[in-house]
Amino acid sequence: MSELRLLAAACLALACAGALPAQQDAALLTRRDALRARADSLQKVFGALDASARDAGLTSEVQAGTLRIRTTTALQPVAIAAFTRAVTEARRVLGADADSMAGHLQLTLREHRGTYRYKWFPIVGSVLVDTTEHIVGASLEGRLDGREVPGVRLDYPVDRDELAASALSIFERAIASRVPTPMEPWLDHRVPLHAAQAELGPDMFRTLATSEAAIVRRCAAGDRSACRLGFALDSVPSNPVLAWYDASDLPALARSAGDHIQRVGMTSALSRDEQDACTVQQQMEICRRMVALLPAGAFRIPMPGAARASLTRLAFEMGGARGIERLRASADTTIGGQLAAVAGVPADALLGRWMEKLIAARPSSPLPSATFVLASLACIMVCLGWAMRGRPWN
Amino acid sequence: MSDAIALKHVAYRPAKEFAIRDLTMTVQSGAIYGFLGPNGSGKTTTIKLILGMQDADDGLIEVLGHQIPQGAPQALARIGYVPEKVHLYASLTVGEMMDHHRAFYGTWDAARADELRRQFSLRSEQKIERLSKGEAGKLMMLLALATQPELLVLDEPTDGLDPVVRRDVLGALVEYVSTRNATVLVSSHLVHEQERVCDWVGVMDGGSLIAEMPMNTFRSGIKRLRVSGAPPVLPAAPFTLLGRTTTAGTEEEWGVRGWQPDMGAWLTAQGATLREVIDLDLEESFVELLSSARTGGAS
Amino acid sequence: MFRAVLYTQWKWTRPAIMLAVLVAGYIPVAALRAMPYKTESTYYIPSLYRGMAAASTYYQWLALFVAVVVAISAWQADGHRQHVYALSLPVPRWRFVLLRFGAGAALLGVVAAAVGLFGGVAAAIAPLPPILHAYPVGLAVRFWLGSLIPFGLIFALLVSSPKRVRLVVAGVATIVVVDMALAAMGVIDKPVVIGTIFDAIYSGRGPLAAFLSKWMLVDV
Repeated sequence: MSELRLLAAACLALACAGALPAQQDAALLTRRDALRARADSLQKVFGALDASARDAGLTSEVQAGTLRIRTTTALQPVAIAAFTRAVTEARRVLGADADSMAGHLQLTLREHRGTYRYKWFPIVGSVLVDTTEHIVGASLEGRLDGREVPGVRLDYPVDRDELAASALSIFERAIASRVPTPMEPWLDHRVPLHAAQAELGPDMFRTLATSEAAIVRRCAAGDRSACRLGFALDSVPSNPVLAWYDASDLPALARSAGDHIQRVGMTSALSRDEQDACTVQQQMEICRRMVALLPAGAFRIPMPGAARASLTRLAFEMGGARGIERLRASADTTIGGQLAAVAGVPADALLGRWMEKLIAARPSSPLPSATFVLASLACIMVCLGWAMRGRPWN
Repeated sequence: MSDAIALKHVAYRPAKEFAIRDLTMTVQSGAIYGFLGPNGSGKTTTIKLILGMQDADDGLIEVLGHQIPQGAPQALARIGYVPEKVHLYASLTVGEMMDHHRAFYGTWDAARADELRRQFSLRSEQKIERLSKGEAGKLMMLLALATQPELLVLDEPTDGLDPVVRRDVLGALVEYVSTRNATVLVSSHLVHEQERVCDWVGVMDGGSLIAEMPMNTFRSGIKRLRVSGAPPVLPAAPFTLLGRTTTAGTEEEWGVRGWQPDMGAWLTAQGATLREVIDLDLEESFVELLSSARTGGAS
Repeated sequence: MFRAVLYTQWKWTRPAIMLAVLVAGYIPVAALRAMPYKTESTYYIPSLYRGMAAASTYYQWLALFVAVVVAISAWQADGHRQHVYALSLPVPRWRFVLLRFGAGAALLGVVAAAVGLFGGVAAAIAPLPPILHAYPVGLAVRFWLGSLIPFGLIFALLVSSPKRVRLVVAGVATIVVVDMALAAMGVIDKPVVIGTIFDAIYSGRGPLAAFLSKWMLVDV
């Protein structure tokens, strides 16, 4: 008994000794917090100075329609041309809403300077060619009603097409901030304004037909209710695994569960051998156990972002002008209801139209495209012509 | 008689160090033309120009009535060619090579080809890469003869062959020529062999044709004279003086072409004494001619 | 004439063609056997599609291999003998080249037909999901055209005179050097010609268009 008491006392002593380093001097804490606050305020001052130094070269605002732009004199022409194009593109989707939205957005196109310039050459690699100060790049930033919108870095010289696309991307994010939930996160925080997002091509069909979610594959096969579930038009199901995936998808889901297990260090939950039993040997029971370890929020909407963007683009095209306003005025809190508000038709009709386009996009010809054949034949003819003129003796 | 081969002022420069200059040459139809010359004289190059394998820089070439190189395919259909080196596909067998060759010639005589194959002791299944030099030479001759050509072009056909094989090859050639009125252009540096077969001879050296004449004329027309007391400078002679060499004192040896017995009087008229007329064989005549060409003739 | 030329080229490339035919038979079998998992009645669509995409690369390597071998074999025998035999034949040079090219194309067609045939058989036996279909004919056509391009390039190079090849190489090298020099001097911002050439070659309409796309035996 006395040995036991001694042992308990020793453990307590060790525990206290371990706690000693965690004890902190209150005075030291106060001193540390004060220093931290001072560092933060200095950082803000430097940031403001830096911003004003950067802004020093910027001229007053110019306008591309209702869109306001601050930039340097040198970049004004390319900025106006690019942003006019961006607003024109946005009008295709939003109609007159595009101009009223643009009026709330201010874009800043800056030049960035540096003192070292490297040029890359084949074989030789990077070579230092210049050490004078010069423009090394540009950036495009946006502010919507005073709130910052994430910006984009650009190469210098600024390419008009790249700038127009970047402006459109900022516009997408800016407009998305005015879109009500749950649609804004459903859209991955950007309203699809780029023309390419409207396309439902063979690649999209392939992506959906070979998705790792059974619900998406069934949608590609023409099951409208599957498309509805896959887009989560009504609501996110309480049991996503059951609703979106079937037994054949479990090993792929379990692989992502295995990554999660490794990431959060839950190796005690399932051993490596047990994980392999699912992913390699496809023992479904173990796969189910692994999938059950995934937190609820780990299951994203199975329809890819490009598919959601194309459905949204279609809704805007069908709905015509004032789609955003109808959306904001809608009381429906389901994705389907909100899309229907944009489109001006019931969600089923919108979905049906989208499915028609998807099925029409399915590659129909088993043979290579005409471009492929013509390009190949052209190369072959050139080679043959060159060969027929050859004389190896001379 | 029309010409089987006619070259007029042909020029060709394949390399900086060598050129064929102003070559004019004629092979009459039905003739057996011996094309003589040392190694590197341009015989093979000339043959390749004739066959259209290389393009001349200047001049006219006509073979069996076809301009070369424009009409080369039509001419080659009537030509049997045996090159200097084996040109056949090594991985094929004798039979396969014959079949391949046959496909390109409408005049292929299959019976004759088989007969020659037996005559040359070649087996169909023998691989060409395993044939000896003699067997390969025989096969090339077989392929050339089996197409029943009007013109045979043979570039050193017996070079490096043993006497038995040489006899077989030349025998087949002579047999072919004797039964048809074919023209033969045979190039060789084996002068004594040409002597037995050819009725015309052309001598090539340094890219130029230095002599072209009937074989009889070549054989009999070049002599060596032993002369004494001849003046250093001679007027125009009734013969071609190929070269003068002093042997002892005023004794000289002259190489001459176109010598006739009654030309001794001309020598006497120059104050010279003709000591002896020496008949030369073809090889000696050939050497005499070459020496003369290289030294620019008698000074 | 064509039969004779085809026979000789077949003889020279027989081992490589037969090996290629065997590989053409093995690729779809290996791809289907390597499926990580499948359901009770059919293959799991995403893994089948990925497997076919991986097999596409093997088909492209096979096409390149057989094209190189056939092109080199077409002229190797003639090249060893300085083309004397070919030049002595009573056919125009251009026609002989065409015969050789045609024979090479026919041999590549044999391998392409094997690709299509074996692929079709493998896909017919394999339990494909309803949404995926086998395209053995499309694959065979792609394979044939895709192999003809490198074949044509190497074929033309081998039959050109050394002088011509030197001219072409010198021309390309001059353009590249001048382009880089102008970029280094600052006259242009970056080597334009090199970039344009690479874009043209690697674009969807360039000579490598065949190799940029996937050669899928099974697709949607």
